Parts: sequence; C-alpha cells; structure tokens
Amino acid sequence: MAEELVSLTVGRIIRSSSTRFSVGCRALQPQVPAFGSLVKVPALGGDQIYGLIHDVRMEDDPFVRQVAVTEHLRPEIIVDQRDNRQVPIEVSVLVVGYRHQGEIIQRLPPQPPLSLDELHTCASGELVDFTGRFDYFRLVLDCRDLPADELLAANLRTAAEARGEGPGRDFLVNAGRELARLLAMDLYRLDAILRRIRP
Amino acid sequence: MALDLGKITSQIDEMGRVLAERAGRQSKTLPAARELLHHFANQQEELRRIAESEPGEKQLGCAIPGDEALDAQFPAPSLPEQVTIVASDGSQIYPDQHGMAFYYAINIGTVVYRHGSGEAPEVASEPTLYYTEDQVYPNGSPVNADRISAQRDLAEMQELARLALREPSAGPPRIALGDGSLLIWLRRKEIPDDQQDQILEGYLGYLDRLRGEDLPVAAFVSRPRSAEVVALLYLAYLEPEARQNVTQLSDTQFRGLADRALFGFLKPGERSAYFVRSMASNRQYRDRGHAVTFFYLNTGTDLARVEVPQWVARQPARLDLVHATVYDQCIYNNGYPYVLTRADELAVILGDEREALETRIVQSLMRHGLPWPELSRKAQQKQVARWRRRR
Repeated sequence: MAEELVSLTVGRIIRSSSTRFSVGCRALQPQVPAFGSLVKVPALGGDQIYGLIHDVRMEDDPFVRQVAVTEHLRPEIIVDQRDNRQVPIEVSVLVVGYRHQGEIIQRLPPQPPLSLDELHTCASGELVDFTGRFDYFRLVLDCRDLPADELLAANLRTAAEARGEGPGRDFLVNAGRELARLLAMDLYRLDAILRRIRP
Repeated sequence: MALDLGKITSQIDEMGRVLAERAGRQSKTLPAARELLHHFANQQEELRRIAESEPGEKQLGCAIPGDEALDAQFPAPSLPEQVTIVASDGSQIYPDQHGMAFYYAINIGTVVYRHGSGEAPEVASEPTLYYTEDQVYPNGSPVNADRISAQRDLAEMQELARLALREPSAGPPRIALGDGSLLIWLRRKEIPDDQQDQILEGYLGYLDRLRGEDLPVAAFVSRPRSAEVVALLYLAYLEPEARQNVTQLSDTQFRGLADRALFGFLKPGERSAYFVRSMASNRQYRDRGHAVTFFYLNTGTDLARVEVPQWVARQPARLDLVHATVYDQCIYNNGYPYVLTRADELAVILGDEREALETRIVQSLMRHGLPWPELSRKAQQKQVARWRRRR
C-alpha cells in the first residue's frame, strides 16, 4: 500500500470560477500536491469544494532567467532562488464536486470558492470516500482544453493506491467499466485511458 | 503628451554629436594617460608628495598611490572553500509635504551568504518609520532628503556591522560588503554640522568595531566616473611650477577621461594597484585610521571600483580575500555582486508597497480619532490631471 495521504495546506485561492480555481504558494515544497491529486477548499455555508490539480506552474522573472543560463552555478544561489525569493507558484484546480451537509455531490457547486480561502490536500480516507462514485468522470472528460485523460488516469491511480492492493485493483476494474460506458463512442480515447490505469 | 519630442529632436541630435566627440577625444588622450601610468609606475613616493600638495589635494582631488606599482595587474586569487559574505543595501520613502501624513521610512535589506555551505542565504529586510516631531522637524525645519540619505547610509553600515560581527570569528573568513562608496555622502550645507558629526561619528564607530575584529569591509561602485588617478598623472606630468595654475581637470587635455577607461587594460578577474582616495573627502576617515582606498576590478563584464579601508588594503591576505570574493560574486551575476543584487531587491520599496503602507497609516490615524487625512490640494489636483496618463 502506498504511503498514507494526510491533509496538508497548499496555499490560498487567488482566482476562482464555478469550474476552476487557482492557488498561489511561495515555493515548491513537498506539500505541493502532484498532478491529479484530490484537493478541497471551504465553501459558503460550511460546504467543501473538491477539485483535481491539473497544472502546477512556476512563474519566472528576468533574474531567474539570467541565473538559469549561468554556467557552474553556486549551490547557494540555487537554494536562494528556490527558497528565499518569492517566485510565485500557481496551482490550478478543476472543480469535480462538493460536500454539502456531509454528503458528497459530484456536480459543480452552486458558488465558487472565495479568494484567499485555504486549499488543502485530501487525506487517504477522504480520497477513498470521494472516488466511491464515478459521476465526476464526465466533468473531467468534458474538459477538452486540459490533458483530461492523463488527469483522470493519474487521479484513479492515486485513488487505487489509497485503497491498497486488492481493493485498488477492483476499484480500477470498476472505473474502467464506467469509462467504457461513457466512452463507448470513442474507443481510441477509451483505449488510451485504460492503458494508463491498467493494474 | 507633456514632453514634446518634436521640440527636443534637435537637442537630442546635438547630444549624440557631443557625446561622440567626447568619446573621440578620449580615444586620443587615453594612450597618453596610459603612457604616464607606466612612466610613473614605480615613483609612488614622488606621486604621493604631489597628491598631498595643495593643487593635488584641493584643486584636482588626486588619488594617493599605495605601495604597489601603479600599473600592476593582480589576477584573482583563489577563493577559500568557505567564506561568509554579509551584504546590505537600503532604500527610503522621502517625506512628502503634500501627502496624507508627513513621515519618512528607511528599509534595509541584508543577506548573509555562506559560500561553500550549500545553504540558502539568510535574508531579511528591516523597515523603520520616522514620524515624531524630532524626526521629521529636526531643529524645527522639515527634514530634507540629504539628511535621510545620510541616515540610510548609516543604517546600512549598522546592519552590515551587526550581522558580520555576529558571525563567529573562529568560523570561515568573513567579509562585509556594501553598495556604493565607503565615503558617506554628506552635503555640508543641507545638514546642520552637529547632525553631520553625529552621523559620521556613528558610521566611523561601526568601522572601528569591524577593524577591532580585523573583519574586512568593502564597498562596490558600479560604473565609477571618478578620475582621481587620471588627475594625479596629469599633475605629475606638469612641470612643478605649472602645477599651481591648474584649477580643475576639465580645463585640461584629460577632460572627460575617467579612471575606468585608464584601467581598461585589466583582464577579467584582475585588479589594479590600490590607491587612497583623494584627501579632501577622506580626511576624517584618515584621522580615525580608516582612510578609504580603492582598486579597479574587471568583473568579467564591467570595470568596477572596490573600496576598502586602508587597514584592509595594507594586509595582503585581507585584500586578496576581498578581491577573490567580490570577483566570484560577480562571475555569476552579470558583473555585479550577487549578494548586492539580493540586498537591493530586499530593500527596495515599490510603488504598490508604498500604497499599502499608506493605507495602513490612514487606518491607524482614523482608529486613533483623527479625521480622514487628505492630500494637499496641489497633490489632489495633480492626481486629477494626471489620471488619464496613468491609465
């Protein structure tokens, strides 16, 4: 079984809409979650909004660019640029559902998260809970401007790992069946995703 | 558009012509100046006497040779495996009598960079707000920009000394590095004498403490324009009886020729001989044993001036440490010390930060029962009139 996922704070919302939002954080720390990770932010009325990380972008500036092309760079300069300079990192999230009065709903939330709300990663238990249903697949597959197939596959692999070896395999088989239903008219795409999640 | 480029076109053209003419004149006088440098290379004693004479000191502001050959070229020494470099730089918000409140601020950025450690440098910025009656109306008059600049210079040296002296003397060699000249700039007329003395005394006190631990301190001047060595060579070239008649270098054939061009023969990493800065500006430093000396350094992409107190210049091991460290810092940062770029970045107060500060000041004033502070009518009307151009 993979290492247990625990809930960690990633950063704060800098931009949001009903379908996507972005979070700013200072430096790429270990707690910045990976592509496909399930994350959550608080919403109005005590609800929580869930999303999948679809992009982690490091902004640059002329100083970093100049340093980057310098030969035989001193290690102290590299860690200074990484740890001390406020090079913003933007984490982009695709909304896949929300929790209302304790119940997970895999639809777009009625309202987007507010700016400066904190983004947290989801612990293993919450990831297993959320991925207990597959209604969010459509929200991901419909995003043609994102690497949606890679995103869903990465999320499913993480969710399978969180379940452990035997249950994880069963989970992937069931997810594959749901994908076969949704992509019955697009076998090339279905094949590409199934190859990515094959146990 | 307030600046009518059409009306200034002929002036721009004339400016180009004049600058090209100056460059052409320099290319003619430079070989002669270099010839003088080689000619007088080992006549330090005689040149010292000339530099310390009245025309050398008062009229031309000549550099005073040290004990190295004037035309020497010293390659960069090897850098110790570990060196702790402490750097500081400062910026300020000058008071605005048309603003919402009459105050000023100084922000000092500092870097403690441990070369060879692999660790991230320690970085910090230390802002201070000045607003009391004594601070903004010293001696009853509004504080002026010169006073604040001198105070900033003092604060930069204070932080530099504090952080450098905090490093253990038993650890890696230490060096304190500042931006600009070690000669703190005091414009006599603008700052009352007692305040000048107070600032200078504080500044020299920090140099005393650094010397007490034999901790080399240096300052880096990018693109220096001084011509103190050129002036010395010109005066030495004249017959003794003609020297009294020279009033300023701009009246001579070496007009516009800077030391930077004179030492253009230095190869990357090489430094020139060290010289003592002209005595007119250096006297109070010398009286306390901190006479400011300088050498030119080819940083790889630029010719810079590096200043150190004479007690550093006279110790070859300390001078080598400064030379090697400053050059190494420049190699990785386009010819300018990396630590100084970072200290500046930490110190600079940008426009939006100033706006945020002023918003907080307004909130504080109102929280304490003062009415909503207003800009002066002049400032308000300027904002109104400039609104369209700011978009």
